[in-house]
Amino acid sequence: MSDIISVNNLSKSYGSHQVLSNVSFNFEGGQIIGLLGPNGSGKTSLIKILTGLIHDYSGQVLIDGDEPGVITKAKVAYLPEKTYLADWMRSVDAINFMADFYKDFDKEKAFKMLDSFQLPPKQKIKTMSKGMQEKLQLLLVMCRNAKLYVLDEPLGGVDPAARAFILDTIMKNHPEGSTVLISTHLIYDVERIFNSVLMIGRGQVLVKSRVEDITGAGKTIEDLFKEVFGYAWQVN
Amino acid sequence: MLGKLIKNEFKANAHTIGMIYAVAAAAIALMAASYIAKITWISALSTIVLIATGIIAVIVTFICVVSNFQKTLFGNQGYLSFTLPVTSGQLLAAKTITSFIWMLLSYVVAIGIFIGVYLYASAMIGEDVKLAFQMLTMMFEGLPSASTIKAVIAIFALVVFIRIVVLIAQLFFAITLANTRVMQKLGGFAAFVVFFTVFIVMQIIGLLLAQYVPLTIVLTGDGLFYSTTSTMSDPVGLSFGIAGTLFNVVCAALLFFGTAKLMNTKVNIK
Repeated sequence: MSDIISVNNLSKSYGSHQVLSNVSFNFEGGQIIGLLGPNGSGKTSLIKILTGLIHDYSGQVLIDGDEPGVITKAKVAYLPEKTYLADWMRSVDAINFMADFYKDFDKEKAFKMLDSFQLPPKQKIKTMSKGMQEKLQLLLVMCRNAKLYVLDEPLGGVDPAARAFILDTIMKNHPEGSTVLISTHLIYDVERIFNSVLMIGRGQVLVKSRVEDITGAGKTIEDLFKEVFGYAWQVN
Repeated sequence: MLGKLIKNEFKANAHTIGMIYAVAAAAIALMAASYIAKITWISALSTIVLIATGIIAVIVTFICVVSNFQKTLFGNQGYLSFTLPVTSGQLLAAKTITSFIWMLLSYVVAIGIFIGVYLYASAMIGEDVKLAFQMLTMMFEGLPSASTIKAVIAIFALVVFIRIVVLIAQLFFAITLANTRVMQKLGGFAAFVVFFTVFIVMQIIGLLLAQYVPLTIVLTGDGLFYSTTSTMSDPVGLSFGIAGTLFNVVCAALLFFGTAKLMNTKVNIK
């Protein structure tokens, strides 16, 4: 299988502050990848580059063989940390919006999920609770039949029950053969779903490994994370 | 994709701007009803509301254009806008087209309201509306022919269109530049400074061009003529500076190009 993500000598800095330094890695498609690292390690910058939000970097980045741009944006389903839907939208507007722009968006599935998530179709997004907004955004992302799902801290700031719900939704709804890249610093809840992990810290790749290799060495991902980043980092 | 972007752009502002026009429509209905029923105080109140709505429509549209551009590209919504499978040029084109239509509509509605109120007030105080119409058309009496009037209207419309496009280009450039990493620390103040800097520089160059490249279209009793006399020498006459207009068109194109380039390379979504 060809690489869904290929990164070579990637560097990115904000002024004098280097956030990614000569980073190289690649992943074959069809995996669930954990992008792990403490806060401020460069995870979000890397994700912004992969999703085409940041262009001023050096090095080469390829998504399914193409540089981030219009072509790759049609293949990547991105869930940012922020609530990105417009105030004027209702759930039904958000679904229609996604169906307008993404050929791979499954509108029928979206309405079914809306019902099962108990989200009112005609309620304005700005009047929804944060939890409802997060559910809706997750729904919009997972109703695409994308090649690559990039989920930035989908478990941040939610209670354990919601975490289980989010993980369940991701696992049930990503199409076979697609790749899911999940950025998180909450390892304990998610390590069971990963096939591979990429640990980055201080702008560099510290570990890139298949989970079976980690567990084969008698460790858990959390053990390895603590080993790599030290117990001083907050893990959970 | 451009059509879909435009559709959603219209939806984004339709609620706020539509509300203003709904108020205007209600005020007009109230005015008409009070005129028929001859209730003076309602008539006076609805006239004031209508005049205020005309002014507010222009101001609200301006605010909507600015805030929509900032919010949907450089606020949290930017995460959605910039990850759609469209180019920055398409995003910019959609916002420019919709902003242009909203602004033009607000000007037309405001002018329409003022003319309407003038005619209504004339009718209320017992003046002959036909006479009022005649007064309005008297402006064109000195003109030689219908074709000249059409040409004047076409040139006037073109100048207004260009002014709106230039204003949009200046606003979008200022907001985008203010959202680059270097300027972001200054916040909204940066956009304010950039806008007025660009505006003032363009005004000065425009004035210099009017003085030193005096290529104008002048309206006289015999029709429209090209002239090489500076518009500065007859600032109140009906003349259109070609050099200044071309300069504005070129500047608007450069500002849009710069905006698209910045959107593509230098913008930082927080």
